Amino acid sequence: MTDIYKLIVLVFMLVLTGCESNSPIAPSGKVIKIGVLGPLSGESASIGRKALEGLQAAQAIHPLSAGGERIELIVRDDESSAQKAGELFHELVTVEKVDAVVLSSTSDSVLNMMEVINKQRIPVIVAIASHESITTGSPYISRVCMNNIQQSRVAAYFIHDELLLEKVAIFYNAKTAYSSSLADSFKEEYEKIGGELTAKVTSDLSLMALRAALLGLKRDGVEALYVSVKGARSVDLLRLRKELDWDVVIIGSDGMLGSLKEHGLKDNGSVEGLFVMENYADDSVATKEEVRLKHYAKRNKVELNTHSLLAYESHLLLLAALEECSEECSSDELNTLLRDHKVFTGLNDKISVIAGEVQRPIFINHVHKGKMFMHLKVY
Amino acid sequence: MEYKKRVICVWDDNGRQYLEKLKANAFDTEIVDCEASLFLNHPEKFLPDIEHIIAAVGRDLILQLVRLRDHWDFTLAFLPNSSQRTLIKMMDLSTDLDHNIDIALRDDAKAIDLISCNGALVELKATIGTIPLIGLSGHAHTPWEFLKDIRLGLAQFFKMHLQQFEIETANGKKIKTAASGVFVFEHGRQSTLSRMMQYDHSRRDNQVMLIIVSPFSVVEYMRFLFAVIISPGKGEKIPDAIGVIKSREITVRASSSKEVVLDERSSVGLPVTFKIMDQKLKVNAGPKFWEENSKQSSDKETIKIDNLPDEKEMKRYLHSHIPFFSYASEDRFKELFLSLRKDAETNMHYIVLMLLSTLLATIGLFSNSSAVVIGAMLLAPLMAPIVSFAMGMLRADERMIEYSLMKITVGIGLALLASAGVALLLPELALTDEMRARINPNLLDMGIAVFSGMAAAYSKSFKEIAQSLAGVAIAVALVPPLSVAGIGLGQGNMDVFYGAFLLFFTNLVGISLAATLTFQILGFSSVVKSRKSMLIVSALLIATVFPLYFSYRKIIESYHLEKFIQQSRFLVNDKYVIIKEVSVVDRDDVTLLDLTLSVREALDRHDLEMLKQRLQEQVEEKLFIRAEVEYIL
Repeated sequence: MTDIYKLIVLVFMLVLTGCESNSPIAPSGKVIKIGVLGPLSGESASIGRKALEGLQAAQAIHPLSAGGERIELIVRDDESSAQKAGELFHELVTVEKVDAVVLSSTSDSVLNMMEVINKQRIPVIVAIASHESITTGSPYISRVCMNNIQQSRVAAYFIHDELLLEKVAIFYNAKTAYSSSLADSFKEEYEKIGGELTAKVTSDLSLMALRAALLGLKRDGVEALYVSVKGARSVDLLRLRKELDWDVVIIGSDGMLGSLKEHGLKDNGSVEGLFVMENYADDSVATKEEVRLKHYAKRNKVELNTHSLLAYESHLLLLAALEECSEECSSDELNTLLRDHKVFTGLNDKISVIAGEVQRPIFINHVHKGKMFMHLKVY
Repeated sequence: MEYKKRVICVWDDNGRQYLEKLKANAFDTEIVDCEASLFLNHPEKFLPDIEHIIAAVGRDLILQLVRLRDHWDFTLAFLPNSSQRTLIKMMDLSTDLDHNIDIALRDDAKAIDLISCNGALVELKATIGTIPLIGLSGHAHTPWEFLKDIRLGLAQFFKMHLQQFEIETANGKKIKTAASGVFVFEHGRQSTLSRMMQYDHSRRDNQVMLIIVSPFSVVEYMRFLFAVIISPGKGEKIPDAIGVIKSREITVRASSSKEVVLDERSSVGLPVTFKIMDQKLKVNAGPKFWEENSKQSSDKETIKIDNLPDEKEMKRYLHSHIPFFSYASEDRFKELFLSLRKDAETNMHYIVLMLLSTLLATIGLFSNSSAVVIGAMLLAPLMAPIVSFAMGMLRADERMIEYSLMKITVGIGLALLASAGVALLLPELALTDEMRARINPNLLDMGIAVFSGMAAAYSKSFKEIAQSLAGVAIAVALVPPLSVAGIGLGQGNMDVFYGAFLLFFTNLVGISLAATLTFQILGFSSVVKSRKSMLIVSALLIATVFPLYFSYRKIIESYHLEKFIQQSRFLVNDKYVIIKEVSVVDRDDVTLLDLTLSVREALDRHDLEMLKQRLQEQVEEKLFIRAEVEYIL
C-alpha cells in the first residue's frame, strides 16, 4: 500500500472514530437506588406492568448516570390499592433507602399518597397520573405526562375551533379522580370559549341504561363525545355506537386506545376515526432515543405502549437531573433539578419541567387501522 | 376421399404402439409393418412393391427415409408421437391418432420442395452468421430449454457484427451487402421464422428463400423482433433490417463466417449453394399445410434488398460490433438534416421574433399576466437552434454546433438586453408573482426540460407531429426566464438574475441532453463517434445539476417545514393559536415564515414573543416570522 493510500485509510478511520459520539461512561462504583412503585397486579396491573417494562428498557439502555453511578431499580407492586401504595412508598424510603421513586400508579393512588410523599421529602417522578392537583399538592413531585387541564383545554379548543362542532357531550367515570377531573376541566374550558355542553353521561350506568342514554344523545343531535373513561366501559361505548349506527365524533383522553386494546377491543373498525389526546403519535419523527428503544423492544420482543414510553422518559428525566447534580447530590438538590429542568430530549420532542409540571407537546391523534397518526401537535 | 390399398408402416420403439390401431383402420387398407433399421438396411424387400410409407419414427430416421428418395419412388406420411411437436405443426397434424391415421392413409400425397446445401439436405433451417433469437421454437422441448435458448440468444445480441456477404442467384444476379447473418429455412408453421416469412413463401414454388438480416443497431434488431412477434401477417412490409432473395439456386459467400450451420446439428464449409433438389418428395399432410403452400412452381426471381446497405455504404457499416443505437447516413434523412441546418442559421426573422417575444414576455411579467407570458412562449424561436445544437452534438457536426450556438448566444444576448432595457425604463415596477416563480429553479425544472427536450426531438423527427412543438415550447418556456434574468440585470438585482438565468440554463442543458439522447435512440447518430460532444453535454449537465439539487433540497425542506407548521398549534399563555396558513420562503441564510393565525383572544407582544420562541425551538434555521392574525368570533 502506498503512503497516500495509508493516509487516506488513516483519515477515514479517524473520521469514523470521530463519528462515534457516545463514548462509554466509566462506572464510578456508586449505586443510585430508584424505587419503582405501581400496580403490577389487580385492576390496573396492565398499566403498571407496561410502565415497568419501559423502565427496565431504560435501565438496560442507560444503566449508568453521566457520573458513572449504577441505576438500581427496586420494584414494588401496590396491587392497584391506594392504601398499599402508601405503605410500600414508606417502606421504599425507610427500609430500602431509595434516592428517588418513580410512580406508575394512577391519579387516585398518587393523590392518596400525597401525605406520605410530603412527609418523606424524597423526589418522586410521576409517570402516568395526570390529575392536575398532583404537582401543585406536593413540592417533591415532578411529572412527565401532560396533565388533565392541559389536555382537556386542548380537547375543548380542538372540538370547538377546529372541528367546529357545537353539540358536545361528555362520557366520564364519576368514581375516579382522573376521569371526573378531566370531565370537569373540559366542561369549564369548553364553556369558557363559548361552547355549551349538551350532557354528561356517567359510565356507572347499566349497559341497558347506557344504551338508552346514548340513544338519547343521538336523538338530540350530539355531534361529538369527549370520553375520559378507560377500561371495559369504553369498549362498551364503542360497541354501542356501532350498534346504534351513530356517526358521532369521539375524542378520547390519553391512553384510551391502549386501554381499549387491553380490554379486548381487537376490531380496528370500531376505533377507526377516533381522535385521541396523547403524549406520542405512532408516526412522529423518531429521535435517536426512540430508535434505541425500538431496537431494544425488537431484540427483547417487548411490546411497548404509551405507559412504557412515559416510564422510559421518567428515567431520562432522572438521568438529566443527575447529570447536573453536584457530586454529593443531596435529595433536595436532585428534587430541585427534577422539578425545574430546562430541557431534556425525550422520545419524540424536547421536554422541559417547570414547577414539577411537564411542558411537552400534546398530540391530537387520529386513529387509523389501529394506529395513532398525528393530526395536530399542540405546543 | 380415396385411401391407399396397401402401405408399409416403418416404426421404432415409440411408434410401435400405433400399429394395432393402424392395422384396425376403417379404410380397408392393408398394413405391412417393419422395424425401422431392418427396413433401412433392406428397403428392396418392400419397395417398389409398396408405394406408400407411413413413418412412425423419430426425426433422424425420417431424414434417412427421405434420403431413400434418391433411389426409390414412394410417397411418405407420418404418425408422430406427442413429443414431435415441430413435425405436428409443420405438417398440420395433431396429437389425435385417429386424425393422423386418416391423413396418413389418404391417397392424395403431393410433392413439396426439398432444399440442398452443397448436396446436404436442409431439414428446417440453414444459418450463416449471427441471428439471435430467430427460430427458437423449433428446438426447445421444455420451458427450461426454451429459457436456455433465450439466454443464449440474448448473449448473441452483443456479439452481432455486420460482415460482407456476396450472394449470387440462378439468373446470375450478384449482390454485395453487409449483414449480421443470412438464413434459409423450410416452412415451419407457427414458428418465429414462419411468422416472419409470410412474405409470399411456399414449399411448393420451386424456390429457395434466403433471408438477409442486416440491422444497423441492437435497438433496430430488437424493434424488428418485436414487430415479428406482435404483427405477423401476409403482405406486411418487410422490416428495415431485412432483405429477401428468392431463386431456384442461391450461392452465398461471407467475409468472416466459415461455415453454414444446418439445423443446429451439422455444418458445411463456405461458400455454399442452396438449391431446390430435383427429386421431389410427395407427402401426406393436413389441409392447412396445403392451403399455406398452394402456390405452384415459378422461375421468377425475387430480390428485395432496398433496406440493406449497398456496396458504397457497406464499408462504413463493417464494424467490429453492431452499436446499441442506430446510426444514419445523411442520405437517409436528408430532409431532416436540411431542416435542422436551416434552424441553426441566424437570420432576420429570428432576431425580430426573439425581440418581440422578449418584449412581450417582459411586459407580461411586469403585468403579472400568465396569458401574455404564454403568448410570448409560443412566439419565441429559441427551441429550434437548441434542437439543432443537440443534433450537431450527436453527429459531431462542427458547423451545426457552431451555427446553433451562435444563434442561441445571439438570442440570449438580445433577450437580456431587451428585458434589461424595459426594466431600466420602468424602474418603479416591483417583482411580480410571475417573476418570482422563475427565480428558484430546482431538479423538477430539470425534469421538465428533459421531457420537453425529448418531445422536441421526437416532434422534429416526424413531420406529421410537428405541430406538437408548440406544446413543448409552453412546457419548457425558454424566453420568460431570460426576460426575468434581464429584468434582474436592469434592476441591479443579481439574485433575480442568477435564479432566472439558472432556470434558463437548466432548460438549455436539459433540452440539449434529452434531445441528443432521443435523436440517438431514434437512430440519427453518425457513424463517427461523438463521445466528445456527449462529454461536453454531460459536463454541462453536472454543472447544472448541483445547484439544482441544492435548490431542490431546499424546496423539500421548506415543504417539510410547511407541513410541520401546518400541523402545529400553540397554547401561548393559555391562548390557543391555530396556524391557518403558512408559506415558507428561503432567503440566503434565513427562513421567512408568512403565517395566518386564528385566535379567540388578542395576542399581545408577550404572546407573540412566546409563539416565536416555541416555533424557533422546533427548527434549526433562523426564522423570520410575519403573521396576520384573524379572530374567531
